[in-house]
Amino acid sequence: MASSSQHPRTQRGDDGELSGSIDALLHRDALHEILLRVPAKALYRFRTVCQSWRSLLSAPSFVAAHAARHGDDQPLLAVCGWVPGTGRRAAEFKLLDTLSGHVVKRFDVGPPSLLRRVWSSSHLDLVLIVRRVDHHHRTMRDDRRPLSVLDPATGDVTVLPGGCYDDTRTSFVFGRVAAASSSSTGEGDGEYKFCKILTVGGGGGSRGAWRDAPAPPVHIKTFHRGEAVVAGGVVYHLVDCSGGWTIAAFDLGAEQWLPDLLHGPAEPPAPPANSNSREGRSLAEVNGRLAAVYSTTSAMEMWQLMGSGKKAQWCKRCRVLMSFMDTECRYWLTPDPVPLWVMDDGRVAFWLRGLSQSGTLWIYDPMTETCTRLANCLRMGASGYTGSLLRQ
Amino acid sequence: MEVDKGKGEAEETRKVAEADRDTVTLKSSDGKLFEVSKEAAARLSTVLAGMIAGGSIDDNGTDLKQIGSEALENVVDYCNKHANSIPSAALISSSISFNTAPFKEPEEWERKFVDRLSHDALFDLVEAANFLGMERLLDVTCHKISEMMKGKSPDQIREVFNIKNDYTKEELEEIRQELAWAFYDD
Repeated sequence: MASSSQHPRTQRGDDGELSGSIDALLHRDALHEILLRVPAKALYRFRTVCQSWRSLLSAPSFVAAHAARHGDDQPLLAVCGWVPGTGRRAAEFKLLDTLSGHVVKRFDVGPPSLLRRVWSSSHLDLVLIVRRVDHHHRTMRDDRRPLSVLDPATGDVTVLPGGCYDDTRTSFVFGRVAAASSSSTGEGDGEYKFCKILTVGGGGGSRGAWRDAPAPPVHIKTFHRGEAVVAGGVVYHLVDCSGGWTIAAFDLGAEQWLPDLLHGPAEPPAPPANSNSREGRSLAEVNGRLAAVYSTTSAMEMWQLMGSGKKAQWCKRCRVLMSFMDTECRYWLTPDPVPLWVMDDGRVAFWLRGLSQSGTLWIYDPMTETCTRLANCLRMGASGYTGSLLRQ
Repeated sequence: MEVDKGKGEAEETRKVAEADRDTVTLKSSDGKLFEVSKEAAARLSTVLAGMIAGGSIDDNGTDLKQIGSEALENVVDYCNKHANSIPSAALISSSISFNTAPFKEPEEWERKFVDRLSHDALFDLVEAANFLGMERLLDVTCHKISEMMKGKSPDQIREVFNIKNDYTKEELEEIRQELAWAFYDD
């Protein structure tokens, strides 16, 4: 009989390397198998366990294997763009796979000329579509009403009560109340001296009518993207961005403005590559959290607000090098990247607002320091989408 | 498990056993012998399947020098329990796509099987499963350990895995700052 111990020995690649220290309990390949099954965020923490764990956990081969195994945990990217081949006369809402860029699901959302905004955000399984009021058909047809909600799981579109308001002086935010399973739409009107709130149920229908909310503590111009974002059931509004971030916050669940203004990260951002370079500060919702964004034509830096209440703290999350996009950025008046999601493997999805209606969706890979263009999109929409498409 | 059989039947079994036994005998590093169903061993372990197909099975006990008797007993126990639970049609069809399919939650009996093990026994079983190419057992044991790791601080992890912190204070502080975001729960 052939020697039976030969076969298994060759399976191991007998390097005898131990994990961590000479006393560690596991061989490296067994440890590798275990760590592959641990959620990505904990693994970032475990890089501080010891040097050999750090080198294992940050090795590109491990990162790739982990990403492949946990691919289903990643969000989809939601973009609103023109339907190709229609001469920009029709718009569509698409959900893209973050790894391949393939379209997982798509919906028609009507003529782009009527779209003002498509609001989808992560941790929100509904998409708010805001249309221009068509004055010729103002009260005649449901599909000309300004507000509707799309459920990407079912494709159902529900029209929300719009009320009578001045189209040009009203803007909307859409976010999920942290504790309850409902979503709220906030409406600012006139000079934004007052807000109204509408609760939207899980299926997309409205619950009750628009109700008044307290007036903001400071003058607020608009709720446009980059100035207002919703994260964790709170609407954050960038009041002032000269030299820093000053932020007013409205709690959707309590329907109250927070008494104090918040301030952005104190850490000084890296200065622009050259003194002529423009800089910009904005807010974004990244991985479901509030993010402060500082961008120049050469790089974008992003901090996330971690923790909650008094313990909340800004943590540096990523730096995206944009210099490679010189040709792209030359046509941009100001650098205006909007980060959407930092993947478990460190890649960053962001979109660039262009002039007019144009925009592009990009993925940045920190390992190679390069960006890949994933899709073209309309100005009004791109975000992470974590809702389940399997919901019936 | 001895079962009374008629004389003719016993004779028949012995003949079959001589020509083609339906169990294999495995020998742990400390020389203990364990018998396991050949069918289950071949189905659950790519290494044992290769040895059975390649004829490198020793009737007097196939040496597994890397596996201690406690771990081998657990391996054999797992194989037998798995063999008993297999009639479920769902399991049979799912086992076909084991390698490509995403991790399937442990069955109730698998959960109980790993829950009763000590840390050391669990770690030994991971090593054994990895060594024997037992994909499902590796999944179940690693899943258990990864559950244990959830929510643990690096200090607690060092304790569980018996790892010495080889960072200097300064190095640790630098990495902690860089990864500060990861120390907050979602």
